[in-house]
Amino acid sequence: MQMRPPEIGHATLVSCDVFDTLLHRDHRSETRRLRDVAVLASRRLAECGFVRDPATVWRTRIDVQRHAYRALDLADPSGDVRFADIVDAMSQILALDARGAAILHEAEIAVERRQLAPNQPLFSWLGTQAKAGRRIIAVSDTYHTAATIAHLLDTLAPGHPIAAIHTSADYDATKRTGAIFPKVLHVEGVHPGDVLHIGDDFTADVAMARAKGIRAWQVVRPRHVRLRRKMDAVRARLLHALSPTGPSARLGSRFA
Amino acid sequence: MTGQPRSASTRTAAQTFGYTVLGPILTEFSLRLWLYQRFFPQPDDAVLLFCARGGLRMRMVYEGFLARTDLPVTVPHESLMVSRLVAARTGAANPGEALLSELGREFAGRPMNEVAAALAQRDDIALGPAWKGTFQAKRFADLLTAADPWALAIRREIAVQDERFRAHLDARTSGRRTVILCDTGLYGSTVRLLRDGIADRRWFCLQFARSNYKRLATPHFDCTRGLSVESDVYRPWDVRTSALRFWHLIEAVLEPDLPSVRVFAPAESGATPKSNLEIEGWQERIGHDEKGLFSGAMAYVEDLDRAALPDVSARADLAWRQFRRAVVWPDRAAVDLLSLDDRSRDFGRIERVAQFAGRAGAPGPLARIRESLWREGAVVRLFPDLGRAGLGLIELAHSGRALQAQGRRMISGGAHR
Repeated sequence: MQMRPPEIGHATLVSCDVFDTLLHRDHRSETRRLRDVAVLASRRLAECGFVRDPATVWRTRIDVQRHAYRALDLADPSGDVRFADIVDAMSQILALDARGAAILHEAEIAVERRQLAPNQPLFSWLGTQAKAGRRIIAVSDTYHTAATIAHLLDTLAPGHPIAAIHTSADYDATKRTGAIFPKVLHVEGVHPGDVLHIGDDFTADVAMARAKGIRAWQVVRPRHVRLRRKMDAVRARLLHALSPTGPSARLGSRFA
Repeated sequence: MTGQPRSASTRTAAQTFGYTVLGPILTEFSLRLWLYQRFFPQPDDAVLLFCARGGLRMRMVYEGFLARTDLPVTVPHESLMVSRLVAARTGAANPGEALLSELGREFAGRPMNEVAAALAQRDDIALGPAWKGTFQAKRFADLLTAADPWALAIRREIAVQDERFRAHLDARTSGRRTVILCDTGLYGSTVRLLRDGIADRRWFCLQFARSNYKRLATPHFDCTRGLSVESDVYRPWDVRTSALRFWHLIEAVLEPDLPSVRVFAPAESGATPKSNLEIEGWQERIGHDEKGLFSGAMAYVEDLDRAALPDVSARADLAWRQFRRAVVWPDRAAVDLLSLDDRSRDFGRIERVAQFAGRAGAPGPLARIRESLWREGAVVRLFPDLGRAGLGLIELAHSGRALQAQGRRMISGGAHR
């Protein structure tokens, strides 16, 4: 697939969003992805002697994530939650030890690896820019750390030109509120006018970047991918709504 | 845990309802409260304060939940002796919108000397003729801040009480500047008043339910969350909002038989001021429950263990469905089971309101249904034979109202996050 290259102008630094920009998610919705994570985690937990129903793992993840973000939104709307804290709270609720917590963490990353694909045209364009002397960085609104994102990039796009990774979880500041941009500019030692930011989310990657004086370029996933993802989310909601609740009538069968 | 009362045969119907329905619901609330404090930013500067009176029982449930599940806490907790009246006093020196709108709602049509007497908790201060006028926000603010002897006397009494409350607050927060109140709900007047009155602290409020059921201004909703219920209207398709159909049940279950906080006595040497709630044996009375609904819920919490944690949400889902059935589609047995004593009106006054309106207050049956705290229950009481049809009509009306509200929200783009 061809990519219409952005106007690079005088930019000396190119900043890229990660999810759905550098790494494309497939058609699966977040709900579905978390269900896949739960199924994998449940299977791996069972192999280690922890019998935890996939529906319970999934429900715990949804509850923890939802309330974690609500708590954050209440007191520090510009910050972000860390995945390590989500896993810690989940393992407390699911009564897992450190080994169990590690399995929850690994299952998430394994599913991410499986459902993400590199945006080859963008990587190829970024490679050209790097060769021309421009510094390439990644800036992501995510609960993952830079190390996790580096692992995903190294695995899925070996030899990529990303020189540094900045995440909202590490900075406790998001693109969504614009709070991360000044911090990244400071760390990178550049002025807003030196930067071109590329991302898929209009608010986080375009409006907020521009509000901080950074030139922004939006890349949008094809309409059919977005539509399929929406349909997938609706399907997941319907499955959840139609499923009998209660410990005696678990959702487990629907995860098979 | 087995999911069954340990001694079901010896339990009353109320205790069984408490165990099977209210227990899982309050346990889910406790888990959510634990999650909030777990993820609360800068926990080292925060303290969770359970507000008298309903919060005292919520604290009991939360502590029981923590003890049974061994979950570690990051934000310490305490009890706060507070009420809307006490919170209102914090802003009396400089009456703002929060205080005046709260007073306007509570004392609509009442004389301003009654408002002053409630705030000062003194009815022996002779006030001038201007105070006899019907409450008007601007007029009341002018009277309260005037330089005449009447205003000075009222302000002095309010200030004495407010100073004692602030000393109590300081003691309960132990130097932490961020206060997370924990209260029953709905509108969150207490946090609105305290944030306005004590501006040098960061205020948040986690309630069982948050609802702007009176369609008032909600500047404090940015710092207030409903952990179990968060909706302005009952939505038939959202089972948790059925709590709004009979909110007084939740309040009655959670409020112990203790007086509302009105005044603080002067501090004895080395101690902090003591509220009128802290009567002899007050701590034992928090758990004392003749009706059995709360004790049934506590029995459920006491039966919890670590292994029950993963199922808390699923059990709560089931309990909420049972709650909705009992409250929205009650039969005669449910009405008998959930009939409550008269409720106090509070805000420094002693009048009480009945769960079901009597003939004196409302002449016709429809008016009596409308004036009742639990309309579905009133329908079944007044029309035992046709009750189901009446309940169907009420449900239909609520569905229409909820759809209308949802449509309005979509049009204005103000969907809840």
